[in-house]
Amino acid sequence: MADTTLVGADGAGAALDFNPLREGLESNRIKDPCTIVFFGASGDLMKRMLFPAMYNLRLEDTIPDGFAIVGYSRTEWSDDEFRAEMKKSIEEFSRSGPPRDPLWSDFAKRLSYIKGEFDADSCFTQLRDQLQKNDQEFGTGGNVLFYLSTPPSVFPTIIRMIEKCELSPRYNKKGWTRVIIEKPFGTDLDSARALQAEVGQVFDEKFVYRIDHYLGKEPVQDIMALRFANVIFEPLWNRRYVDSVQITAAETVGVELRGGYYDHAGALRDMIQNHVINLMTLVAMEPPNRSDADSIRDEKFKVLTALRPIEYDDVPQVAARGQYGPGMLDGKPLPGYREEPDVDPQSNTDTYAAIKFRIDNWRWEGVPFYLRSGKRLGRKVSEIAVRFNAIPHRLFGEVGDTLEQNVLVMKIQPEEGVTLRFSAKVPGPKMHIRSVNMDFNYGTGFGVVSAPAYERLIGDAMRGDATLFTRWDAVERAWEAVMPVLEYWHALREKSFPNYAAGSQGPPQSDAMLKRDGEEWRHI
Amino acid sequence: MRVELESVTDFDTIKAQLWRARQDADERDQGARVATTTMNFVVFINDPEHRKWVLERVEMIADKHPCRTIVLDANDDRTGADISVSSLDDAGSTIHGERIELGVPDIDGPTLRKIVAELRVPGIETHLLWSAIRVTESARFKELIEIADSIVVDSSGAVRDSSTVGELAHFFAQYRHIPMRDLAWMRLKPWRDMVARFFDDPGLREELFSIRKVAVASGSDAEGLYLAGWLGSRLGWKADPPHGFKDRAGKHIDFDLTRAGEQRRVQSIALETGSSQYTAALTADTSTVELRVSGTRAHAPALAPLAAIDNVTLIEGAILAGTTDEIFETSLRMVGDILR
Repeated sequence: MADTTLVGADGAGAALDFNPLREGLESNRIKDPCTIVFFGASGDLMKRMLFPAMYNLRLEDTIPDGFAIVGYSRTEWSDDEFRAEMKKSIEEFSRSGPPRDPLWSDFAKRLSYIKGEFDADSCFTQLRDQLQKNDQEFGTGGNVLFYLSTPPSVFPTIIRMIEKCELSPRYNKKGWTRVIIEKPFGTDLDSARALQAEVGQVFDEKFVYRIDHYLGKEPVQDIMALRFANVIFEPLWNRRYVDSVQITAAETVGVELRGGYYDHAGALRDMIQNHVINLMTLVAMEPPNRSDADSIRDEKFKVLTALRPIEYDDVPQVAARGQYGPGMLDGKPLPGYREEPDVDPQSNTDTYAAIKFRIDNWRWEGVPFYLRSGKRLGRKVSEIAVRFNAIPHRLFGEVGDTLEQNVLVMKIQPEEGVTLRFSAKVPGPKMHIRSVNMDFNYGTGFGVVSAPAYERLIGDAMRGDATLFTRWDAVERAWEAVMPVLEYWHALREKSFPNYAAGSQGPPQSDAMLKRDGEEWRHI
Repeated sequence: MRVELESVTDFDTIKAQLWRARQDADERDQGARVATTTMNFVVFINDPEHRKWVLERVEMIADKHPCRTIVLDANDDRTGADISVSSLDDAGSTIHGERIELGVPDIDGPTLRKIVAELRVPGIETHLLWSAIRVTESARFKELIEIADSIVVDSSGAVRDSSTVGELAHFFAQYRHIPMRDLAWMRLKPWRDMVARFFDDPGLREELFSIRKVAVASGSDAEGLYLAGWLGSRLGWKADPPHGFKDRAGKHIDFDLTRAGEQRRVQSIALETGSSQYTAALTADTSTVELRVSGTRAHAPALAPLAAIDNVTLIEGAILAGTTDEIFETSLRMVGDILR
């Protein structure tokens, strides 16, 4: 409660070091003003996600009064054409509907555009001038947030130009300079290290925000809530009680219009190395001491350092790959991967990847973590299933009863919630035992789509909160973890491709991998 | 499932019907087996005009927060009970909501309290949404708040005048520290934020001590009174009825409340100091507010989006807030002083 006695008793002029009207008035508004520079501003990500996210942040009054946006791309646009394109993107993709005046006009006047190559000195000089102009006109406080949403191949060029044209933190004497870097951060360990070498020369780690939009999803954040806001799970969360962990990120869609990119990436690079491994670290991490960015990221990093390295020769035993062929889903015929646009008809790219990790630490010794991700599978589902040990001694159950192991499933999408599967007695005179689900599904909102991950993450970067961004040491470890598999798969062409039908459960090689451990995948 | 009851206290029948509804869901969805519950959500309604509107919003809350909803419908034509369960996910594996709707037009307060005590899920929070024409004057209200962990009212839900907020202020003078939220107060958060924004600049804080006039235009009185009450309580003013305050130096501050625009909506608030005027006013597009400072402290006007806070979000916020809100309570006490 405000100590109003601080207000001058004579009612006049007593200086206050706080605003008494702010008392008890929580605000989500970002304090620091800034200009955000979007490299790749004419790209699909900008239109579908980033710009609608920016406008929604404005609509929710999250963005401070002093802000401006600069779009930078190769496309031949004027400022007004950029504004028109962005307006169109809001109309088409924003969850808040078409923009309305006067707010849109006020927003639009803060948009500017620079057409340029990513290695053009003159254009970066123009960018520097624009940043100064924004600072004077809109009061952006000298703060600049660069957002790299270009193809990854030009990340190093942009970073170098930021330094060369004196736009990097070391030259910013007035405010801060941060950079958001889209995934993928490298295409393998060497390229990631090479990129980091470039980034690290220009930006201290505390200014770098490597984005993995998966981490901005509400249910992913719920994993920590489930583990650390409850007392009942943590005592069981270890090798003494957990038999295995399965993490699944299955999609029904194919590569759609991303064939050109995807054919050089594959499921292991596109999903496992970042999204799915990130989920694994959230499941396996120790409780952090605090909820700040580094405390959480330290614990996640420790998990990665404890991953048992995969030996090259062991790859066939601990990893499986697949590529979808033609198939059916919901009664509709679907093309095979090799028939998709911009995909090599002889492609050896994995559209499905499964991998088994071991975490060599006190908590998880002996517990396998099975990770899988694939396109064109039978159902869209992302979930983490923790399967507990079998009971040590069977007391109950009639002939034919199966006593299943308890399973705790954290559902990420499309359903959000938690399911605990346990055994119960079937009513009646006999001691029949049956497994039942105890489900908790949290609705996402009042029929309204929850704020997309990009809104949350861009807002966090503007605030300087790196909790949901990936630190370099974790990126490097994640690459190290998957590199033997990537190398093996690169060296040896998979002759069975395509080895699973679109709309199916995935390739038989993946099932065989688990079968060797006496396990089986949960049904997708 | 419609159930005719001989008495609304026939709890065995009501509970039996609830179990039957669960079993029906099990058969219908081939696998609805369990229920999840975050709270008991008790809703009292006696306003026929707003009945449908309120129940729609109650359903939206229940969709997000799995709960047992107990609707106490005191409208004259309501009798018997409607009992239903619903599942949210496609497979229907979870009973997501349970709803018991009872006609209670002639039921007294102690019986209502007994009904809720019997029918609620034990061991979890009970939240009361009181959606009635009168608020605290009702004996039924006083009974139900005894078993509620939080209470949500809306002092501008049914009326435009100050009668309900006045009732509430009177109630709070007798019962302090009740975990109550008034939606009329909660709707003002963006407006309070915008007024506070004028004085975030430390150089302008001294202006807070020279306010001579507060003018609010709103569609119902509660909002205007709350804004004035909030300012007064934050700045150490005393009510100086009928039309103003005295600041800490004893100087008079005019308070001008004008009824304008839609019910439950603020149109503008203006503060006048000796040298400047600070105005936050809706633009033609009612989702945006223009913040303007004129006079010696004048600067370029700014626009602020008026975040659309719908009633469902407000009710959810009230439920999740849980504890008492001292800023609200002191503001409401000031409202009571203004109206005295």
